[in-house]
Amino acid sequence: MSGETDREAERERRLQQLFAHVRPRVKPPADDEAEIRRAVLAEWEAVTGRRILRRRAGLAAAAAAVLAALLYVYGGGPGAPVPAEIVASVERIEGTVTTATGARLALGSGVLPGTLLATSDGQVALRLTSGGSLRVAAGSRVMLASGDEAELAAGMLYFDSEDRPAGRPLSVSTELGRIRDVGTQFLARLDEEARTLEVGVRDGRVALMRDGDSDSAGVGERLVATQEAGAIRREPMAPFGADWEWAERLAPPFETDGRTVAEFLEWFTAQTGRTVTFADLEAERRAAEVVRGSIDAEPMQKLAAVLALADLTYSLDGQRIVIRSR
Amino acid sequence: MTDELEDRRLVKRLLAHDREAFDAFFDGYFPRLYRFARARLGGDPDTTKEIVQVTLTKAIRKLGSYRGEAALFTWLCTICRNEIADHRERVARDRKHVVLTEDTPDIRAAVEAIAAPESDEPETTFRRLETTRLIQVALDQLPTHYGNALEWKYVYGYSVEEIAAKLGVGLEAAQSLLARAKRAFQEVYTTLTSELVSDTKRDGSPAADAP
Repeated sequence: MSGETDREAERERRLQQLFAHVRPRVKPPADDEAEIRRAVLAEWEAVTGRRILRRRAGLAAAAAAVLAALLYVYGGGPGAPVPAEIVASVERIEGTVTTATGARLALGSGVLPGTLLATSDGQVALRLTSGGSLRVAAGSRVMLASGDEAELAAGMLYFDSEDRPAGRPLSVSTELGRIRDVGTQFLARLDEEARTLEVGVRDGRVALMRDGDSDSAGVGERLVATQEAGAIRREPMAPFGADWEWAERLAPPFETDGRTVAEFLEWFTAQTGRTVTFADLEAERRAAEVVRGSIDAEPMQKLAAVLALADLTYSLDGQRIVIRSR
Repeated sequence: MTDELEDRRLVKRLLAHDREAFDAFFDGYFPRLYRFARARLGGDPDTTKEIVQVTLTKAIRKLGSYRGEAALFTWLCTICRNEIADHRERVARDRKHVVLTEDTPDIRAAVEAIAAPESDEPETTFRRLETTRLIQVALDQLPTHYGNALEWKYVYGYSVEEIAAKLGVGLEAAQSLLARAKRAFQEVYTTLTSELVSDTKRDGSPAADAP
């Protein structure tokens, strides 16, 4: 007993000696901690909110609860300062994207209303707190006035309304007209030099209003407005392919691990505008297999990798992806 | 209960959208991860902030793939290390296109002459700093409440009663936790220093003392 007490006393003495010159560990700056907590909490609310809802109900229920979860974000964590009202957070980012004040955006950064984003050689995908994914291409300047209003000053943006509540359209202002989505996926390109605005639709409908004139376009169409007076022009435009590829690279991340091939394909078709068909029954059966492992790649590369894991292969047939067993 | 089992339970609760679990996760891991990143980024506060934010954001997205094969902190550090490596690669790429004034050979030689450490700096100072750093690393490697309890006791000099109050537990529970924390610390610190000893045998630099 005494031996054990002596050993304990000796251990205590050595520990005190060892710690004699140790200073407290560095504490993260409180402002940084609050900002990062806000960003990570918003990400957690979005990720786990979506996951739970996917499990419990269909997509319609998911929209309402994700919105509720996002509203909860504003409640803040215990002891956390009241967060500024962000209108979006960075979901994906490539290269350098800055605000008008020169601040650099990072994954998870919050965007305040009125923030002007300049992408130069970078590009960014924003998750709007009001719902939907707004992606800004390289060489663009976009200002988010609120969760419902954006201004495209130059360059190109893509919007996917996803789980956005019905009856809450996103409005995009440009000097050549105002775009309004009606539950959709669209891209808008403002060419400053050619003084041309193009609005291409991949899903749903989009309205374009300008000087009392207005027109709308559906899937596979594009509206074109130029500076010269005249009607808005409507043209065909493929809802997949080269025009859309930059936005696909910024698609919301999809964690493949633990999900079925079919679930991945659902995400893939929504992100690429392509359709999927199975060439044989065996291929369709294998789509129910669960993927093991995370794959971080662009949608087309991810498709090849996921299919390979299930011993499947694919070929392109225009808009269609044809999947067959090996 | 093992740490890995506790970690798996925490992750399960996080995935089940348990708000208390989020607070426990953030409060427990953020400061430790911040120090982990800061030490590897030369103390640069802006880059540390960015890297930690990206690490935690990615970790949240990958939570579903955490299997508990390694401790949660180890898993977070792996993501963080990858982010730091990517950051360094980006910076190196950018630097290829930028020649800073201080990088021209003449000026660099002058700047380095000013910034170079004294060659006769006492070895004891180095040993003391390295010991301090290793102790802090060891504290961060422990479960959060162990690391905090030891820091409160040996660095801030709190009494067991004060520690019990801070932890919101009784005196006996605090004593028991401190005893477990000391054993865990000794294990981690000994591992760290023995690794350092085997490293120094290879490169000839000094090692720190074990408790």
